Amino acid sequence: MPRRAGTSRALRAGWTKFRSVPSTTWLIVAGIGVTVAFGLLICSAVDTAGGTPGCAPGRAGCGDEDVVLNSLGGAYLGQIPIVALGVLLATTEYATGTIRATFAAMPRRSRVVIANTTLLIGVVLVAGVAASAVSFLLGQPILHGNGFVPAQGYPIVSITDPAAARAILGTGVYLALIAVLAFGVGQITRRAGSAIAIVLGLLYGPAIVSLLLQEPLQETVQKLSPMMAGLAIQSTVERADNVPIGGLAGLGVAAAWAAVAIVAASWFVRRRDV
Amino acid sequence: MSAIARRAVTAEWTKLRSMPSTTWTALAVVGITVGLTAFMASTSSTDANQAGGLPGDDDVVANALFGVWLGQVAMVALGALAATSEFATGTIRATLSAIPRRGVAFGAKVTIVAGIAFAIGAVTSVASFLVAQPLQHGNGYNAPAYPHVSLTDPLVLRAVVGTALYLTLLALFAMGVAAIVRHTAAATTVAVTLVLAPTVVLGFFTGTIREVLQWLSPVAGMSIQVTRDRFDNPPYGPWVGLGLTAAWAIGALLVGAWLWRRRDA
Repeated sequence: MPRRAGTSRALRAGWTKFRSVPSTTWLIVAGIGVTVAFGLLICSAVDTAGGTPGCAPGRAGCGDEDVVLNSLGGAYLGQIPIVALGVLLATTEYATGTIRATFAAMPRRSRVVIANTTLLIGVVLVAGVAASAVSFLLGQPILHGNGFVPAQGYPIVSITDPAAARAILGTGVYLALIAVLAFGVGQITRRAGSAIAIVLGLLYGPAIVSLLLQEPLQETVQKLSPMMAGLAIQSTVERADNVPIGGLAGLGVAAAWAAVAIVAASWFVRRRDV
Repeated sequence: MSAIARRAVTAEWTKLRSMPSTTWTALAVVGITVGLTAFMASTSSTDANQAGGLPGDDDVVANALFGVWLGQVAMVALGALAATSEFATGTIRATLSAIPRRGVAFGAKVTIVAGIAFAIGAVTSVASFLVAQPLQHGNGYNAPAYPHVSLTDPLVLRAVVGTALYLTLLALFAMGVAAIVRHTAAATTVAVTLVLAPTVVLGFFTGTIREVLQWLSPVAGMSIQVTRDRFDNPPYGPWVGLGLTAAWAIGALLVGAWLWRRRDA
């Protein structure tokens, strides 16, 4: 007797499709590669001169550069292939027509959404933590070479320090949430082009807008922005330009965006013909 | 224009205007730009200065066109779709059978996209400027620090018309990228990233690298909106900035046209 098409079978079917599409591998490799490469570029470019104004360089505790954040900043660009990954996971099946076979096999359509969301979270979380751990480990020696040493007021930070470990894991969680957001938007628009434009606009738009906004609106926009709030987990030093939200609360904001996208996607998936 | 070129342009016009996505993206360009500008103008005030800003140096013209920072995303999508949708549906084979001279077919597409993008851009920037004016006046942007400006002032005209040109160049840039990769998702990702990401990651850099990034960014053309000396202005003048965006557009179109002629459809 055939087993019922439960969530575990939806997961396995999703996984087979996920790993057998070449673009998936490429986008994950690109996500890791861009994150590490851009993180290292930031580390090579930054110097200790950018400390707190009026503070003599070299005095202990004086510099306020965030060595953890700088080595993880690559995620600001590395998230782009991850967005493409999430969107394409949703839209490719509509473009090729396989979505009809998928839904015929899994008539409870929200299971397909849940299975794909689970897959994305698992894969991107691993890739994202790997990318940020590598960024951190390769970036720190470069920063040391640029003068970020204890004598200049910058204690050596290890990957096992709670703040650094939290920032690295948090960056991985952020990337997974953004992938889910992208997947949800892809399910809603069913078009790769528009979904990618919408998600990238949603991520980068508030950051550009907040350059001109004045208080208190600036703070509100930053706190509500999936990218600015979500990546606040990378901050380990008090700085004037920090997004005014705690790291975990910021990830909560990103998670809320992802959740809204998935709930809306499940609703649309059930209501519309394919 | 030869008869065949004229007919090619007519054909492209019919195709582009009958695509629902053209209407949607056009509405999005105008709507997002004007909406964001109105939001910014209605929440602006003359007393709050950004870090390093001098009192009274807000650029009311640039601020009245600020919404373009987001509206341009829809313009990029329009340009990309104009080039890739025929490859997605397969109609490109009918198009190239009807117009076997591929250079003519590509040139016709470029002409139509340029025309439509400029029309959308002009409506967008004029509407954005006009909507912002009364909101700025209401928030204290008045003489003596902020004498009122009008659409016919030379600097305003340069900013408003220049913004329309800038949006046209961006659509052509996206079209060139799309002709190169021939895939909507890839073209949109590349083009949107290039117009949004440089501004965001600029914050990580100081000194030479920052300046190099500013010179290399396709959004350099936004400098055409500058009408006042400010600490955060880019390190080049308005027309040089627009020229940088034009270089991106021309570069992408040349490579796109070359590949368009060389590859099978």
